[in-house]
Amino acid sequence: MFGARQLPVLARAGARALWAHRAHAACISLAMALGIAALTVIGAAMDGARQKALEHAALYGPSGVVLIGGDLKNRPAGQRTRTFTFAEADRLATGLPGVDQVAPSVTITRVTVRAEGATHNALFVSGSPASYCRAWDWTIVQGRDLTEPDVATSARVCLLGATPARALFGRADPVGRTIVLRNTPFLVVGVLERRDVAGAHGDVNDRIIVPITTAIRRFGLDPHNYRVLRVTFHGSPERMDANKAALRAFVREMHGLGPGRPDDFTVLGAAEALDYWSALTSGMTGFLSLTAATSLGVAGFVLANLLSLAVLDRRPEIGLKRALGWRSSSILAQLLLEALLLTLAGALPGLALGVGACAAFAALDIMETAVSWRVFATGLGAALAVGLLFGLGPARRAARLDPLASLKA
Amino acid sequence: MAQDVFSPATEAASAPGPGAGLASGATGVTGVTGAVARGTAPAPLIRLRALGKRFRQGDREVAALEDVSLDVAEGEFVALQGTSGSGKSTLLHVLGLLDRPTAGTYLLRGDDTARLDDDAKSAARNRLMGFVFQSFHLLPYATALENVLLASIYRPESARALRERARSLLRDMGLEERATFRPGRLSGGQQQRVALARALFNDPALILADEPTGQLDATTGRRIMEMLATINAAGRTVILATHDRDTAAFARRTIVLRDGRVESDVRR
Ligand SMILES: Nc1ncnc2c1ncn2[C@@H]1O[C@H](COP(=O)(O)OP(=O)(O)O)[C@@H](O)[C@H]1O
Ligand SMILES: [Mg+2]
Repeated sequence: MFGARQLPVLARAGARALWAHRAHAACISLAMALGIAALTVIGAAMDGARQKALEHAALYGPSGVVLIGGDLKNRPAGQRTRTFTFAEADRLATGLPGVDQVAPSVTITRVTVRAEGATHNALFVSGSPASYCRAWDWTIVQGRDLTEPDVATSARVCLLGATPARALFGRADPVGRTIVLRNTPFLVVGVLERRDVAGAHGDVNDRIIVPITTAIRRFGLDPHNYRVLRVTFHGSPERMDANKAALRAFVREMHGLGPGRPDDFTVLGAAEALDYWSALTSGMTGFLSLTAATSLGVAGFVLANLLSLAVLDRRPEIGLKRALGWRSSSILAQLLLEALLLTLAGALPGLALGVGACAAFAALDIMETAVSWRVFATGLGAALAVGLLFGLGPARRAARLDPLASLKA
Repeated sequence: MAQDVFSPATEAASAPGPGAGLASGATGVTGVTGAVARGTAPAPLIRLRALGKRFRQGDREVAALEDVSLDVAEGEFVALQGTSGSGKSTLLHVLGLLDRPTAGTYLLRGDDTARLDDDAKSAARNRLMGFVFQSFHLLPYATALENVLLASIYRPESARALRERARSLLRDMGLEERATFRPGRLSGGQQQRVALARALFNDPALILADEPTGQLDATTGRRIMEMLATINAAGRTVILATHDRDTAAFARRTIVLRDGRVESDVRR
């Protein structure tokens, strides 16, 4: 079509012409910039949501699931939620192949905690068997985990999440200090690491863990039944699907569910958490994608229209070049290069604008965004695609102009 | 120096120059550069036979050229003279491959131009011809130098060498100090000299000039005509369209057109 050798010449000719028609060029680039800025914000928002989903999924750990009484998805109306017994937990721990830990969990929510004059409203207080951290994939940063003797003796000890630890004790070490929960004093024996994850129900660090026996006795909970059971498995995370299937079969058998009867429990793992989050964000994702496509499409149409006008304007230039022996393919190449230059000139400030908007949204807590190289690559790629797609029409029309008629125009 | 610039490249001397790549078009333009090599009597640069050009205007047809038959040999200086509307510009456009005739044949160095495709015509315009127009046709946003360089697009030399050549052409036109000026800051005569430098850039065998003095005062016009005469004296074929008898007097052959027909064809 044209020699690669002419590309720099044509690019220079294009840039020269654009500079000469810079008002037009600025309009096109501005439209492009807005489109790319929208795309950047949208891409970053989608990445942000996905990242959140991944973090949330990571809470489940690579080899653990949470078993919850009742079918969360298709809960039959008015039916009492099925719960688990401690005997069932024992049967799981001994009978299910590959199982590592089985940890029942009881929870009370929104509890006022006091300590040495400070007060904090904790999101939840959980009762757990020994080795809470091993079962739930947390790390102790100060002190120790819950032990068998703690559970056996219903000891009034607790682990503090990072949020209550900071709220009640500031920067001081809480281990060895006392907090009061529902009029019962608890000795702080350990502090959990801070996790930088947004939970489905709020701050994941806002938790307090006590021995399950203590929780049942002190908070007046059902001593036989509970709804949440943590199960972890030995072996590689790749076996999780098989493990989950085995768990489900085991629990169905245990609950005497014949073929055709729906589950009366739900198994939640990292995969399910991801599904849940993507279902939650897919509506938003769709809307944002539509917005991005629209803004880019509008930018493309503005580009095509202004380029057509510019071509009409520049018929004498095109006719002259043709008269001087420029091949029509060179005219086409020059105008395509101009379209690409214009879109790039719009894309770069557009990306900057988008990143700025993301920073503003993050600062104002409006939206979680993640700006990555993917967002940049998508923005540049989209700009080039739009430039080529919408520039091709006007460029071809310019290349096909009759030299003599354009020269006289 | 001037001799070098004003004279056309010979076949032998054109190896790296403009003629070299003309044959590369896949459409048989070889004759355009290779007529001499055929061994028979050299074909004239231009041979027109029963050439006609009709324009359709609404439901009416205008015959801009009728039954034009003539030869132009290499090195001639021809004036196409005639009143406004007699067909001078139309004939120049046909000769310059910017317009196609509706009847007859146009052989360029023995090649039937009807068989040239668009790229081959572009190549011929680029390497074989140089155009000079009444209204100069310079890009208003480009400098004199850049305007000259518009003709250089397919040249293999380095950008630097090409700039040097453009500068030397401008120097020959007496415009050395004006190289960086845009057309708006040049007088009409200077603009036309920039156009001349551009027309000469690729060492064309043929210069086509349509009323080159039409927008210039008498003195400036005479200066341009003297330059065209120098260009011709150096061996290039010059074909000039003018309604003005005095301007036509610079040429050594005058073809008078009336209503698209050759009324007279006189050599001096
Ligand atoms: N593009 C065109 N469409 C219709 N008629 C044309 C066109 N170009 C030239 N003509 C007609 O052809 C005739 C010759 O025009 P032209 O070659 O421009 O004459 P000249 O250059 O001698 O003044 C005129 O009658 C003119 O009106
Ligand atoms: Mg005319």
